Amino acid sequence: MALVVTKRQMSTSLLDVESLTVHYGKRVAVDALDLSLEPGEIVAMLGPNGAGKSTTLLAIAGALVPSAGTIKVAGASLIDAPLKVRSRIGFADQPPSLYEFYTVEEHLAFVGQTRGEDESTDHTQLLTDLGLASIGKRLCRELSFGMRQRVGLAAALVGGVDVVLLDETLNGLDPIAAVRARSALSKAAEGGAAILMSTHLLGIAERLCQRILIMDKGLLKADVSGSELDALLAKGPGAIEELYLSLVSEPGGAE
Amino acid sequence: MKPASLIRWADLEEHRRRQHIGGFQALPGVILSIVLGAILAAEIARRLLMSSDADFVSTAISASHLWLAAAVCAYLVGVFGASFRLFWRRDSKLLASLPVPGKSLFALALWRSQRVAFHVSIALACGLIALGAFVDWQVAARHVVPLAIGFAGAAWLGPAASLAAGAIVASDKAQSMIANMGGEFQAPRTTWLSVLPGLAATGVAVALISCASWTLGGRPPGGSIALVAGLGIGVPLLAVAWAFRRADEVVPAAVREVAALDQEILAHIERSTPSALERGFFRAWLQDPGALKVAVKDASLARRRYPSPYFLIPVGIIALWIVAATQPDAYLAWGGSILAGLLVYALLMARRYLVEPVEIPALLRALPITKQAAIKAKTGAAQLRIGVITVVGGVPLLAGASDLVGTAVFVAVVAALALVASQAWCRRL
Repeated sequence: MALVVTKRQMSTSLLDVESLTVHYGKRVAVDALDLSLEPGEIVAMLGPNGAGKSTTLLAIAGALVPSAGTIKVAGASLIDAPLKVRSRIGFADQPPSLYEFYTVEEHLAFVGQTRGEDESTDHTQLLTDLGLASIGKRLCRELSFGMRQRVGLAAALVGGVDVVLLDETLNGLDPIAAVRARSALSKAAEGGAAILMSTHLLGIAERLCQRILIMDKGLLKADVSGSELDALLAKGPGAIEELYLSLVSEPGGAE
Repeated sequence: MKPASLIRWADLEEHRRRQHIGGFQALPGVILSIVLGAILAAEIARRLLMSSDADFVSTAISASHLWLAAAVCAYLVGVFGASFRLFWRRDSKLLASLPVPGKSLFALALWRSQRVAFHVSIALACGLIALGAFVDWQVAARHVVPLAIGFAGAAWLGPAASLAAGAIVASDKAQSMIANMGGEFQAPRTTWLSVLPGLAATGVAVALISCASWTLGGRPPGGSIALVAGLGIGVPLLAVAWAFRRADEVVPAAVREVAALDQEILAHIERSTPSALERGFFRAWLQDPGALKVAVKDASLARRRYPSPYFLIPVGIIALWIVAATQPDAYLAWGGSILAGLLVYALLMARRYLVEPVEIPALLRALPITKQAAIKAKTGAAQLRIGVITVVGGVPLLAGASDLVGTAVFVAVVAALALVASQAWCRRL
């Protein structure tokens, strides 16, 4: 199945990435990536280890300096207005960067306040949505892997961000936690946020996302959405896996 | 986020971390300062009480020099620490993606630097009380000038120098200029975060040592103590005012560079390998293959993440050679301060080998390498640095000393203390 990667309409985009290139020394981790996300869109980024997914997310989040290219959120450039852009991006990295000696509630409050929230902002609803209400008073260092993933997701969602970036954040969640996480992400998308997540869970991509990107060796190999995606999903379970396997090479290299 | 808010959050995290680590780190800083100050005061008092009338003057001079050496070492550590408070933070990856203004981050680093400088000053003030009580209060009062210069250096000049280094790191123009000058040698951008504070620390040390003669009633350095004090305090104040103005522009970009370096660090492990000296020493010293693997890994990561010792220790050793060759009046104060400062620096670097990103204790526990082997590797790396500093820097100091026995005892004691401390430190892995 041949899919052409085309530039999307830029005018209504929440996130615009143009010619994003990241080098690790001589190795090209991301090669001239063009990408745009609309408000309310949930996009899955698939690809083998070393494809450049994490590097792309890190660069968009501002945690990695791109070698070339521009990143804009709602028209504001990450280079020209870094604070403004970062205050509109929520990023859950892998493994989640948490302040180990804050409680879960404190960690969310700190991240929220950096994004302009008031000190009195209450995150109880978000904690409840993600099944974290009972551990709100526990220190982050005491949490299990799955709990840390969920706290990382919660931190990415606080502060009313416009763009949510998730680096394999839904991996390692138990079924109930995964359902809660999907529901929280759908809620954020309904509120107008654009969500870009890297994942190896093809089932999540099928069920949750309206658009699927496939990356390999730093290149965007496929960008499937709308009727194309509907047609693909109509072929039945395993269609995305087939497409994935037809496009990517053997895994290798560092991500 | 406003500076006051960030400081409050950071203090909460730091307080809990220290309570968790326990030991002396859980003590309030002021108490620790008073305990260390009491030790310094006790040593000064001991020297003066045990001296006879005939050698009282020379003992008073040596007590003053001891105080000055302690001031140089302690304030230098304060100056060097500024980059770690501003950029080399354990949360740099998270901060790089959060919209925290550079001014707030700088204010936090400044607050912490001022607190370190304040604690050091309390300890040194305890030493001055002993000097005043057993020698002369006027002499003790004169030592307030180097105390103030040291405070200004550690509290204000260190963070300002770190920010200036950050400006170089964040500037593509400066980087391309340096790259053209460097030719084949391409150090990581972030090397500047160690180099400029190192130069600032040297300036503070020179200013402190230049006061040595005046504090004992001699001639003021440069003909005017007001000039030295004015420069020693005024320059850091001006520097910090400049740094505040540039913070919003510089700090986020430099934090991003540091975070990026951590991100890339494993991808680039093959690019930085142990030096020839390290390789030879590890092979000869570490019989255990597991220990050898850990040592090589540590050296590779440390050369990329913390390249400053490979520059600053040779610079310090050259300074010791210059002292040995030129034989200034306060020979032991100069040489001893530099030697002790280098050894303290080596100890601080040894500590970096125990934590991320150089070591991941949880991963280490899962590998077929015994804890003893890992401790031996880390102790070996610290011992190598301490040995190089002591032999290459300390022996020429001995060769030039008029009081050979006193200098030898000093060199042996500080080296032994450093070795014992490094071993105790590494056992905490």
